[in-house]
Amino acid sequence: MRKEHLIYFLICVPMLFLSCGKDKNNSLPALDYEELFLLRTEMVNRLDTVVIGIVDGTYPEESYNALEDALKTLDYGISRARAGDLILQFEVDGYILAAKKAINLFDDSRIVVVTPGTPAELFVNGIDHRGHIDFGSSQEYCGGQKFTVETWAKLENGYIEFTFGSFISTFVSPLPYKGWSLHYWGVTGTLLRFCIGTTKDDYLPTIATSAPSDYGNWFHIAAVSNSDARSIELYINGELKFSQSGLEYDMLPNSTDEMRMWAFVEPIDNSRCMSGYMKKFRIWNDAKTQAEINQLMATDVSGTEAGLLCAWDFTQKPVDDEAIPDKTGRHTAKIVGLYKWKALN
Amino acid sequence: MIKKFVFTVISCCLFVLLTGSLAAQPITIKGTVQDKSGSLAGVNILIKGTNTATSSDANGNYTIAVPDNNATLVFSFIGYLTQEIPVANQTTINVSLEENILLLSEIVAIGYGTVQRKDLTGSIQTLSNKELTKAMTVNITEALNGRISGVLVTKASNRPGADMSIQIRGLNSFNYSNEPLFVINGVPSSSGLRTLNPEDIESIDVLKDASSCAIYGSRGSNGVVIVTTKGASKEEGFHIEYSGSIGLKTPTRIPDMIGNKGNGLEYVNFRIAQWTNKFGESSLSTPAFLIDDERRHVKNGEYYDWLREFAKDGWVSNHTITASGNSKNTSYTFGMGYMNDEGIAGSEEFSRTTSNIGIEQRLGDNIRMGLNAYISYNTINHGSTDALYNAYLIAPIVGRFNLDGTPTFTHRPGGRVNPFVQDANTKNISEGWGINSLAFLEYKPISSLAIKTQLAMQYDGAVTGAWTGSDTQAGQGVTEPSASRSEGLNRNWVWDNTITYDKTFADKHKLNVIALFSMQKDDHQSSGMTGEGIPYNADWHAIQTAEQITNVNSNYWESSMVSLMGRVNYIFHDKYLFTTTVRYDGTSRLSGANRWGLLPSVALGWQIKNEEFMKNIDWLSNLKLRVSWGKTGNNNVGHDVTLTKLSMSVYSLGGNGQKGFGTGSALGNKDLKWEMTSEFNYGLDFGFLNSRISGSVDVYFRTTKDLIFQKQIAHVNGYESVLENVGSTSNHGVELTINTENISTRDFRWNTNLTFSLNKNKILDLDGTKTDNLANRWFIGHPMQVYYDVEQAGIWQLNEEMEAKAYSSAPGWIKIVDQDKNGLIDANDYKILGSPMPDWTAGMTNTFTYKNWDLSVYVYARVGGLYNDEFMFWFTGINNQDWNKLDVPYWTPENGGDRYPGIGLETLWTQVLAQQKGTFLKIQNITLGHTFNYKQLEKVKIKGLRAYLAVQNPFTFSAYKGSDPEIIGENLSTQLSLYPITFTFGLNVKF
Repeated sequence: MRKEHLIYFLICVPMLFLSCGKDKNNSLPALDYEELFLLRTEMVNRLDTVVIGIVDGTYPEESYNALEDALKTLDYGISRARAGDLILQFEVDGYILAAKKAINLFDDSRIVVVTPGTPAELFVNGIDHRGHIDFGSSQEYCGGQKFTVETWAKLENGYIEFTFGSFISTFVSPLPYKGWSLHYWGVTGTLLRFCIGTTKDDYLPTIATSAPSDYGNWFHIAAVSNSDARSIELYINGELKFSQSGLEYDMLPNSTDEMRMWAFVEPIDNSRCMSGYMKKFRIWNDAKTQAEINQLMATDVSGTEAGLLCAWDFTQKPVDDEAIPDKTGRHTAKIVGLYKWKALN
Repeated sequence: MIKKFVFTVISCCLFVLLTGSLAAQPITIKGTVQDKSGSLAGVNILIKGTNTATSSDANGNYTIAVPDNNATLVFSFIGYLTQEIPVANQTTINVSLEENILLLSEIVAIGYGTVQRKDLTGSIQTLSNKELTKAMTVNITEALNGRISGVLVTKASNRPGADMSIQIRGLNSFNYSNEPLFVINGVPSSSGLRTLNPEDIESIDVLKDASSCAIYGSRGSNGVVIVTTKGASKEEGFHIEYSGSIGLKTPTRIPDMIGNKGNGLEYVNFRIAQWTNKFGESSLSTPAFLIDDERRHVKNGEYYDWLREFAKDGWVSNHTITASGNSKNTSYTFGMGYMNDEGIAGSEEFSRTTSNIGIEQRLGDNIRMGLNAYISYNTINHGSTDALYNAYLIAPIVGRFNLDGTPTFTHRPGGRVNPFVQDANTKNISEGWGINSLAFLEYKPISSLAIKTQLAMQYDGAVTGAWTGSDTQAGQGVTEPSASRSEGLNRNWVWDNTITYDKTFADKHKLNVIALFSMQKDDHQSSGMTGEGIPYNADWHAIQTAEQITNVNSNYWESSMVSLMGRVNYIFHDKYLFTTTVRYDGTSRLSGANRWGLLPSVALGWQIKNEEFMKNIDWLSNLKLRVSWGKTGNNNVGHDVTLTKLSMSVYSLGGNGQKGFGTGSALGNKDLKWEMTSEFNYGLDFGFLNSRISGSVDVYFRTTKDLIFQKQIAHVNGYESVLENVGSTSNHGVELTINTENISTRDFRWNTNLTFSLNKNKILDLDGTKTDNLANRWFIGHPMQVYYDVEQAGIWQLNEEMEAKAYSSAPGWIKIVDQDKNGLIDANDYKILGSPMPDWTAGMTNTFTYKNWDLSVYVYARVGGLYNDEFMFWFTGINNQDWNKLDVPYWTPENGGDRYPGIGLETLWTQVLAQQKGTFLKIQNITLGHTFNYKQLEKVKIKGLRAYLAVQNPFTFSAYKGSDPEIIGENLSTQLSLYPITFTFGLNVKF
């Protein structure tokens, strides 16, 4: 009898062991939505105390309306949470994130009047494609067989919310790719990338380097395309970060398509957006060498330099934000949507 | 007329079947059969020239009634030498059978003849029908793996009817076939072994060294596989045998995808991490993150394990019936076989019907004629290539059906199509057939001289049709169905004429000389077309109704060959063996003087054990040294390689496309020669302790020269390249086969068979200048196939953030070894990481026999090799936000993983995830069988019965996370498959 028990026991132990597979803990976790109420209080306080106006220290009426809309969205989230309609924490977090974003946007919209000619920095909030710089369209923006894009930029934490944040692009997508794009890629471990459309529809040479993350500091970017040498290069602060040679096809220099150039939002696919600062921006119809790039970093241009296709200095408040002439006198840019001139003093 | 013909045929068959069954006045003979250990049960005792037989009982006793005193009894038992004893007025005949320990009398096919293994000078290994059928493989190619040393079989996938490739002693050629020459019943075959029923195979002989292969001259450089089907019966009397099995296939080692087995919340957490890291936290608030249907599943805890739901069990059934007989003048075998192998994913299926006929008629002692025909018809349902792929990718938070009960179509808008829908709306079926037939006439004017002429024809073909409906991945529910049909036919005529002289002089000079004149002609034709926009479902049988017909093509080519061959085998005193072969081949594929090639070989053997000075060494039962050299060619080059061809282009003239012809880009080269291989082989056959330990070891050195490459030339006269004989490669290696009889008692035996193979492959030259070819990853001094890539150093960790940034990376990203330490990962950091070839392979069979029970266990190991595995790259490296991924330890700051990047990170260098080591060990087959004894069977008039249970692939040991390490690197878009474990019950019945 005892022997039989031992046999049963020996059979049962492995069965019990085998039956203990991966835990199937599929019950939905409890949600924490206390922060929704805290944020609601913050919003209500702002709406209750805001002064709407057009002078320094006041807030634009559209900012008030936007915050009011955000409060309604938050209230809807609270209602859903209370009704048990939210099932996972990320849904609660989504309302929290939206509320925080709305509060930050509202706070940033406080009016600081900058008079034309005042030395200033330009911040463009392209997130959710709210703002961008429109440089118009020109075949010169395509560069040609050889070209160099050169600019100064400054970033703040959270400058990109989606995988693809276009910094400056003449890019036309989807296929066939035309033009070029200087953009940020990825929200974690973000890369700065440069790619060009080629004569082959689906061939899109792309080079990348880690995006500078020392937020609040200006840095210089230079992207060089040389169809003669079949190479592309990417420099940060005059230092070569990545290059690719032996490209199989030529850059598509010009196109019958409208080659519109935007900064902070891609002209065609508006979801490719970001926020940030831009100081100086130039395109040359030449493949600049590393030495030349280092020299350009420390040089201003007058607009008459040989090979200069376009050049803007966003270093002081212009007279008209919707008509900012470039230094060559051939192009005009306008700033659209959510942006801010921040006086240097 | 037809009726009369059928009646005549049936009458003839019945006559043939009944001729051996005449009987006369019986005399009862009794006796005991034994060996040196004692009595032997189950010994077959046959009255010679009849089909009357009996078996010895458990005590070795037997009783049999013979017609008269002139009868002769034939005592036979597996593993023992057969004895024939005339009755001659005896009523009690006790027999002591001698074990056939050395198996030296084993007959080996050497091409255009046979030889006893003890007289063999080359490197040839044989797989018998018994070993083949025990292997339980649907495709007998697979049975060679690990059972024949020096052979590497690579399976394309585990789909039913999947292709397999064989390499014997490594790769030789870059641009042309490395497959061995298959010779089925003496006819070179292009259809491989998939069409053959293992039960119909008498033996497979694999010719490995060049001296053995030189008999096939310009086709022998990749080795030769000689398949002999069961021809005319050699066993006295009439027998009917049935072999059948039925097996249940079920998937094993199903790869774990995230959130499978009902752990759906794991997948939700994975998606949150992926979208957060890839698109940012705000992306979670977009409707695309969790569509309504997915949210409903999560809310209700309804999770679907797509892979396990789509996988299914399948049946494998195999039935073969063979009738065979042998009388004084006539021998014959008729066999029919049917096999059906159901897949374990979707509608995949493979079925095969075979017919085997062998007849030999002897007219006196001088004339022999015969006919062999092997007919095979098979169908392969390839299923849908996308269905299983989609089952891997679709997330567990999507169900198979919508709320209204209709099947879901795509798992997300524009996503992967429901695999059940995909499979139901796809048809992809191949029908193939193969006929191998031959007729021969042999005349022996004197006993030592045979003149034989043999005409053989091989005809095989296949029709493949595919129909893709709208509700598929390609159709996306919108595109009208498309269909395609293609077919190919191959015909091969071979006429062999041989004169063989075989004589032993003065009991010490054995001479065997053969001369051959052979002619061969083969032709090949193919055609195909595709129709897009098929208005109704008629499979691929109404392509003319399509809106657009494309890819219309038809092709034909032929080649021919004439050969002269001579071989001399001479043995002196059973000690000194000498073989030389010369073959002179002429092929239409080359031109001018290069058409003809002389391919010689020579081999020497020394039976050291037969020397006087060795005779007293009792522990040594066999010792033979073999040395051989031979030259073989590879004429398996294109039929038109010497020609400069026109190419067709479509020009736009007047708004219409006009076809025109111009010179192609490649210049023909009339000076092209065959790719030639020469090889030295050194072998040692040994046996110790009365051959309880026996085996052989072979070492070989092979060089292949004049490899044909496309060489770029200056743009003269519009040509860009020309084919030239410029490259060379080498292979050298070691092969070992050991058979041991570990335990041998009266009731219990334990035998082990072990094979080991090691091959080193090297490129010697590519273009005459010994320069590497980086574009094709060909490097002098390295194997022909190398893995040239960046090397993973791990994953960047949090405390390495600044260093990672310098390499354009971030924590959680793949870290690459900066080989030149220049601070950049670029082309200079690529290196040869390995080769997708195993370092060595081994196979081991252990057979245990206890009384009437037998148990065999087959283990196969493949060690080394680095493979480019699309499966691991795709299912761990692709960062698609809508697709599921393999459940592996992805990096997190907490776990600090060092192999797989963090979820959702857009890391660079993901191709390193495809780098997979190929080492594995499989217990590939366990078979338990029981042979019923005579007493149990005589009541039901059965001569023999064996029942067995077998399991295929019960255990696999490997670090590989895909399903089957043996098919590592399988093509995802055409070959993705699941790994089956098969439980089989089978019977072998002899009436």
